[in-house]
Amino acid sequence: MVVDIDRCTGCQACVIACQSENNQLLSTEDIVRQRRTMAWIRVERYWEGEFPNMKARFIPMLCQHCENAPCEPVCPVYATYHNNEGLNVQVYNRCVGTRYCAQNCPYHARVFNYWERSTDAPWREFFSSAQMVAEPMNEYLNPDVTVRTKGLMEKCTFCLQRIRRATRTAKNEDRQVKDGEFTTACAQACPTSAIVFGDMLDHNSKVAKKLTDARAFHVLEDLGTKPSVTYLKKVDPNAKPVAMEH
Amino acid sequence: MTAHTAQAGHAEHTGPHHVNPRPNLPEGPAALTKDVAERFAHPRLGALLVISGLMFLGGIAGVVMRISGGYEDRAAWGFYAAIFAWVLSTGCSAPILSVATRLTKGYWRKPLVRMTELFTVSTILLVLLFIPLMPAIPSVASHVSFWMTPASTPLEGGPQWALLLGVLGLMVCGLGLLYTSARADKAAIAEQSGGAAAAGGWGGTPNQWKVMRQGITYLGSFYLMFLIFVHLLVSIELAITLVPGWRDPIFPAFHAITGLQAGLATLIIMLAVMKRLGGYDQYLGLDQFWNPAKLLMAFTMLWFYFWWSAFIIFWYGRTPAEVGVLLATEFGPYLTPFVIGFVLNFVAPLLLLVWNPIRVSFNGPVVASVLIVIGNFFDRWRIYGGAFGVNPLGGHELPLDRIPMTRIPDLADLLVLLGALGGMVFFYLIASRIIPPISLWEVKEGQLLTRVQTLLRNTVTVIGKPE
Amino acid sequence: MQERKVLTELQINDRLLWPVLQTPSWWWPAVILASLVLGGGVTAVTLMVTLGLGVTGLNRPVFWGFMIVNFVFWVGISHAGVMISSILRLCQAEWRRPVTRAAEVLTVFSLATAALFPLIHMGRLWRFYWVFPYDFDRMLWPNVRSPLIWDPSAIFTYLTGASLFVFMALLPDMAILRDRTTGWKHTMYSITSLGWRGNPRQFKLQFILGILLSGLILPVFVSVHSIVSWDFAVSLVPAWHATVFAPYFVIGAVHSGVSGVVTMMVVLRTAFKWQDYITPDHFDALGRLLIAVATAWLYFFMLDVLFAIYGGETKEIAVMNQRIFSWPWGFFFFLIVVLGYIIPVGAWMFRSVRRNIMWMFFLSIIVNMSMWLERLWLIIPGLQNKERLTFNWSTYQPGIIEIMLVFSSFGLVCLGLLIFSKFFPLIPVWEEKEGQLFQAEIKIGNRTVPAIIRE
Repeated sequence: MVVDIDRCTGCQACVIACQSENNQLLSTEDIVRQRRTMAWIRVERYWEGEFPNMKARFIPMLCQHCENAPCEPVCPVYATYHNNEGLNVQVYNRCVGTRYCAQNCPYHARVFNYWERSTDAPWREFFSSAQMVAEPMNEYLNPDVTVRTKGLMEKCTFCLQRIRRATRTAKNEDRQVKDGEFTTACAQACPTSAIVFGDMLDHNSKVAKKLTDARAFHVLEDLGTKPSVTYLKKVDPNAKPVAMEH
Repeated sequence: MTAHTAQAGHAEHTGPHHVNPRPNLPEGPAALTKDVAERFAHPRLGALLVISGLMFLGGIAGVVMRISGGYEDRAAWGFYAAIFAWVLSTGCSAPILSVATRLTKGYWRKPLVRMTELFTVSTILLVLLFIPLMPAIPSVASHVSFWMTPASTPLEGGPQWALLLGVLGLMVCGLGLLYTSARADKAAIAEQSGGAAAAGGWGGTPNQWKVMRQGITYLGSFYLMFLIFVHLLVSIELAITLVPGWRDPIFPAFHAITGLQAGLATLIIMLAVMKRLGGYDQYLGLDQFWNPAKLLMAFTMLWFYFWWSAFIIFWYGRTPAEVGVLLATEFGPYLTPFVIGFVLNFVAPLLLLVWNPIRVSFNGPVVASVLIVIGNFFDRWRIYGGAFGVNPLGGHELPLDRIPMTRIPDLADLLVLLGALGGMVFFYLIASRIIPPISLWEVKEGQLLTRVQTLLRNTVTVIGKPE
Repeated sequence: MQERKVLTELQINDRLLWPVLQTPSWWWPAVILASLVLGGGVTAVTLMVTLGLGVTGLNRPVFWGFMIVNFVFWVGISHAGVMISSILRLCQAEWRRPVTRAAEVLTVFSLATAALFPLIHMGRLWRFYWVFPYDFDRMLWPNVRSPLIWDPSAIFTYLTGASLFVFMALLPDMAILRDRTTGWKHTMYSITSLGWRGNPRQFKLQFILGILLSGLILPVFVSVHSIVSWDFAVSLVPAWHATVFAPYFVIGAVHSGVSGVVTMMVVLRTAFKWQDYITPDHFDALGRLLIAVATAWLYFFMLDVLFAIYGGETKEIAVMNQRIFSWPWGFFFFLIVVLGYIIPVGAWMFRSVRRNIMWMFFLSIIVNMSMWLERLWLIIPGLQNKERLTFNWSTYQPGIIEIMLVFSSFGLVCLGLLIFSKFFPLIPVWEEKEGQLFQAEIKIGNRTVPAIIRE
């Protein structure tokens, strides 16, 4: 995946799309106050400058699906591992909730289900911030994606359900998946096409072409995590040269 | 109640060993003084003295050759720095046995206390070795150093002066410890031959004894503190700060613990030399080898523990900086010295010392000790050779294309190595001719406080505990 | 040793066995209080299991909080038993005699309590058994590369070893109790004492077993807390990723554990009226040991702090800034150094303080307070300011659930000790009798010096 920070406007359409697509717990005001925002992709906002010359910089941050993922060796039950498509996969029904993977993720990409999604127990809502998914709210759930119970770790899966659907269709039609045949929810929703998803190994894909851009970099490169998400630097024509951060 | 040690010791019920574990000492203070004075007046090991003296002279020549080679090529000084660290780890760390066991009040230490304290003269060699090394330490401004001053005021010379202060302090405390501890003995020996007047200022009054004991306690504690401090500075200024990205807080502790292990090994070797060749056979019984051997086994296991603690953190994280450090000092160009050091410092000694017949013997611990002293040198070589080889300095991680190459030691290096080894032995032997190697007052005190009795048909030793 | 009491076997039996054969007046109230406190913890865990971990104060990115701090703290306390018991046994130090069993039992209960905490802080604790390799059919193995697998292995090994240790040392005392009780208690002691008759062969075997176990459990003791420390050190979290954690944690554990033993000795001496057995000599010796241990702890602590700053990495400096200069972490830092080292070691340098029971009690409590704070200071700040993506930095507010759990862990350990004291004497009767045998005196000139008999 390539994320072009120059095009990002910070509109957070990607966040909403991801939440809808992947059946995330709604990050209500309560939940945000508890600092347990459930977003798998979030737009980080950094302010620069003094009033009135302030600028906001946005970085959409999601799971980087690192080749050398720090979250993978530390899970005691192999609930997270690297599959042969290059994705860092989270197996919900294996997770026992030790949250070690989340500790080790330097991108803060992982999210823990502190609360339950309950369907029929109003008393739970009284004691906790469990969310009711009674009718007709259950209509918003995506049937392709599991609804996670409490005590599990979750994170961006690069919309694995869409990947599987596309590969199944292609296999049934006895062909390869074409570039642009499907995309992730965040890339689909982005109004400026800042997020581009595809097969990095396919030289003709949009993603592969963007990788050669001179602005390309990886976040937290010095940790050696080898992320699969490449960012393209924002171009600021008025910027003065800044000392390299170490 | 007379004390008869020799006969009681021969009995088999003292344990499974057939040899008397306790030393066969002459009875009574006067006999002890006479015996030690005789041995002291006719010291042996003359040939060893001459050989080690020649080696020391060769070492001086080697140092001169090294200095004349200049300081621009810092990599050339890596081997020298390793030798410096090796002397610190072997000779200068040996006196710790006397300091540490004084607190635990074991009775087996009494005959060998002075022999450990004699090693404090190695600190003189350490200072002599350090002075040519001072200009080889890179300037503070050129890299991320421990002197965390702003780039505009880098406090140049900080490492050099701190290290100099450390080694000088070590020397002062060590020699002070030796002098304080030996004063009573020198007076006793002088008195026996020359009468009371020859004893000098030492009258043996209770107040003098009290001051002497306090002096030894404090000087010993300061020696320990200075030793740990010097280990800290050497490992930081000569190794860690030279390799970018080497953020390893346990390394000074690893350096100190491995130093203590090698110091203990050096002591055991010298005890064997003194026993077999130096003529002090009667004074050094099995206890004097077995107890240090137990400690040596513990420290060997600690060698692995401290090394592994650092390794597992670096290996698990696999960040590029850590991979660079591992390659530069262990698994890259210095792999062979590292593996040799690993085997000689940990694998071989542990496999030897776990066996009772080897550990509870005279020769077993000595063999393990020789392996450790050699292994310690290889370990220091891979650390300092790797660290000094990094060029140019700076940056926050060591890029993989800047891993230093192995540097084979040249003639100057080898001469310095031989000189250091010879120097330690030479200084020790000279010191043992000035100061009696048996701590008379300690042994007499031990004899006073020990009785042999019969308890329920067993012969047991009763040890007084006046504290 | 100044005061040497000569005690007959009858006196020893009477004095040390009375809490078992009769019940002290304070025993039932203490048990009820401890159970109530423990009950609070049980309620807390029930809430966590039924409603989810949202009831705690954990958030993102502070996923580990008070419960893990408490876990490390209790593992630390559990190290004292082995340290005192096996090292002193191997060195044949006589002053260990009244201290060994109490220390070993403290080890067993505190370790068992500690082991509960990683369990209850799991998101799905009812699936905890997945960390064990049992699924041979489906070949679903735990991840051996994870420190959270090394943890249970180490802790269970240590628990087994320590329990064996306690049991082995209990055998002669259980035999004494067997011979002095009737009814179901007699049957129980008969079974557990394994037919101990007290003949020389059995004593010799027990002595050898003691030496063997002492020697074997020492590597375990060093490795357990090292493995717990590697839970933190192998991760990439800024303040955690330091190589010094293993010996640092072990020394900290010995520091806090030996202080815990001091606390316990004072309580035992006062509650059971064992003034003849737990004398100022013992506190003197423990105090001197603590000076050495505390100084080593300070050395490792300084190494950790200095190296965090030296590299100049922004993420490390950010965490260290928070830890030293911001509230409440700067205050905790001050408390840790002052309460953990400056005040105690300064006081322990004086013989009169070391031999004063009340002072030793007070000092040991403040040391443990400082060590708990030190665990907190180590674990939480790195999580709060994790990495350079400052948008995600957060703070941690412990909820009532976590505070309740911390208190109830103390309740659990106290309850365990209380129940143990009802069934077994907390000072080894046979060791005290042996100690009496080994006491002697020798005359040097005019002075009579106390002595010990050695083989």
